Amino acid sequence: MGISIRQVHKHFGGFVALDEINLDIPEGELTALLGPSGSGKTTLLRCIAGLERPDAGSIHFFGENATNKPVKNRGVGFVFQHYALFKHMTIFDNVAFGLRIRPRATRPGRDEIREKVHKLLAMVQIDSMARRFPGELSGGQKQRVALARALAVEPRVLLLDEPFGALDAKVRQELRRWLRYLHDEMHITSVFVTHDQEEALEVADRIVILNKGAIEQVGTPEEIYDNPVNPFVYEFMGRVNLFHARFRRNESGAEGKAEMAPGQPPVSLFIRPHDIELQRHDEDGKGIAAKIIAHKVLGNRVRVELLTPETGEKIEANIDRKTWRDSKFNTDDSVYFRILGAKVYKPDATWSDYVI
Amino acid sequence: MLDVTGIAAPGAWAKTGNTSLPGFGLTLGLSLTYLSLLLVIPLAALALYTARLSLPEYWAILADERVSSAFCVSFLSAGYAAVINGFFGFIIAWALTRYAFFGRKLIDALIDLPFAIPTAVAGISLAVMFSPNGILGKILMPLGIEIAFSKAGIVIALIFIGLPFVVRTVQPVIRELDREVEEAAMSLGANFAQRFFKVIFPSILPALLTGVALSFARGVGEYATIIFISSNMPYETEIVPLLIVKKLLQFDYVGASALGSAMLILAFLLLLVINLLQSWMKRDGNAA
Repeated sequence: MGISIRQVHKHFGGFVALDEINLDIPEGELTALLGPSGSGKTTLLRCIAGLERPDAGSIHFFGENATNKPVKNRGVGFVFQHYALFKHMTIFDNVAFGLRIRPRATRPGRDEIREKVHKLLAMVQIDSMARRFPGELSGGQKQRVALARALAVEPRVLLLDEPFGALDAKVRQELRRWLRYLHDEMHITSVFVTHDQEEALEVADRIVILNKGAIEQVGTPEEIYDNPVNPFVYEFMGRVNLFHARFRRNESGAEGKAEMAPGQPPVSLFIRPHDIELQRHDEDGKGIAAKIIAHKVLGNRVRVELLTPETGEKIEANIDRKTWRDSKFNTDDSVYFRILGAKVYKPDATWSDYVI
Repeated sequence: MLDVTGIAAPGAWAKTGNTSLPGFGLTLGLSLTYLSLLLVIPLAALALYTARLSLPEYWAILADERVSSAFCVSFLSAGYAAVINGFFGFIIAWALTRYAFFGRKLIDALIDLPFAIPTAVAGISLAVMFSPNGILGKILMPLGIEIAFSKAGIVIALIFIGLPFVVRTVQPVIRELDREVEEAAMSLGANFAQRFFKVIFPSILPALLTGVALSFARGVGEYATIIFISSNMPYETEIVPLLIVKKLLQFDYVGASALGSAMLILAFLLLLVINLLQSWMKRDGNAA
């Protein structure tokens, strides 16, 4: 096991940032700590780094208790959201810093350092800027330098705190993919913090969902997306339509069609916008009548806002552009929608798949 | 006299060319007018007055042993004081910004006192304190350390006068230090000394130099504080400003302006060097 976190607790004044966290981070994997702001994800990362000391609990690195080890001896590389480069040093000196400050016994020779720094700079594709200062670089370039600087000391663990948070969308996309590629090359145990579920899904081997200082779910991106353990995770992983419905039992006694009908105990029905299908006509009688009240073309998808005349509920659908165009849908049309898949959350806190 | 109007075409004056920020002509015009009234014209008058002397005459005045030793006293004392202020001012600024403790606000307010106290008052109290019967003089005298009426007294007076310049220029820079930069250094394996000398100090150094330069400039021109604590002995503890006053009292206006202009040139050159040093250190630009 790479990093084991046991019963870690941390509070700031009256605010509980981390509440009895237990987590195992496998060696060589890229793990994402995902959660809304204030969920404790950054605090957890800083505890792993040693920049924050947990009030209780322990943190083990590769089987060895590192709870009381100072940051400088932990062998972690840390990448900050706002780069935290040494502004008075050239790019080269920034990357060489960690090697040059080593005690004489373990410090590599001058030529060795130069060779290594240039290799790292070439890897992050900014070797041509070695003699520039951080102030002359763009945000994306600065973050590459920060990564090269962190990797120069050959850390056992690489920690990244919202590494792409300050970058614009296109650069962020590019760096994400590149981080994934880099990780596939180096296989260094890495943990990164993000509040962007798309980023976590795209980059991570494993996602840890945090909320209010506690872990909600741990799993691969597929597991988390397909089988969220509770409504929080479901809602956090993407846009969602929420219905309060009641079950009507069909003849066989099995739970059948959910309806917005009174009388039965209420359930919550979670439906992703792309699990809604639009039709002109209600061919098989399973469709629900609705009116398109607005639509927005987003590249090759169309976001459609529907209103059910019966219950007055607003529903968001996300259909592909081709279907939209072929069916000649438009705002103010009356249509029928079908639900292709949904999750049901009952008041007794059970959570199940529900397919209509 | 000066052809500075507020309606000069901005493009022609601004270095950046087509600046979109309005008011360039107006603000620059006002600045130049203000500065010429306040600085350039009086200084030009000084230069004109001095120009009545031929170069050999000018040189003869400066080469006088009493004058040259006064220059030595003035610039050396100001230099010593500035360096000492640089060191302790930095520590004070550090302590006041980096740590929270009881009475911090009070101490912070005390720093500005030398700005507010009339310099004569400061000079007299320092002189009394270090005189053979003063609180500190009583202790130091038997040890053979003579401060009042000596060169050391001048330096102490200048330290007193110059300290706020260092503290006040360094403080905001320490406050703005990026915590994450230190944490980054920590994660790379740097111990406290390495973080301080390789990361923190270099980013404060330009501001510290400014503070030292200001303290120095103030010290060179200081008059009132020093004449009370110094014995004002020619060749020993006589400073240039005092010599100028003495010349004025003897109606030697040309001689006084010669000393004044020489002081001006020396101080200007020193400040220029410090400024150049600073811009060389800041060559990375302060862009975040």
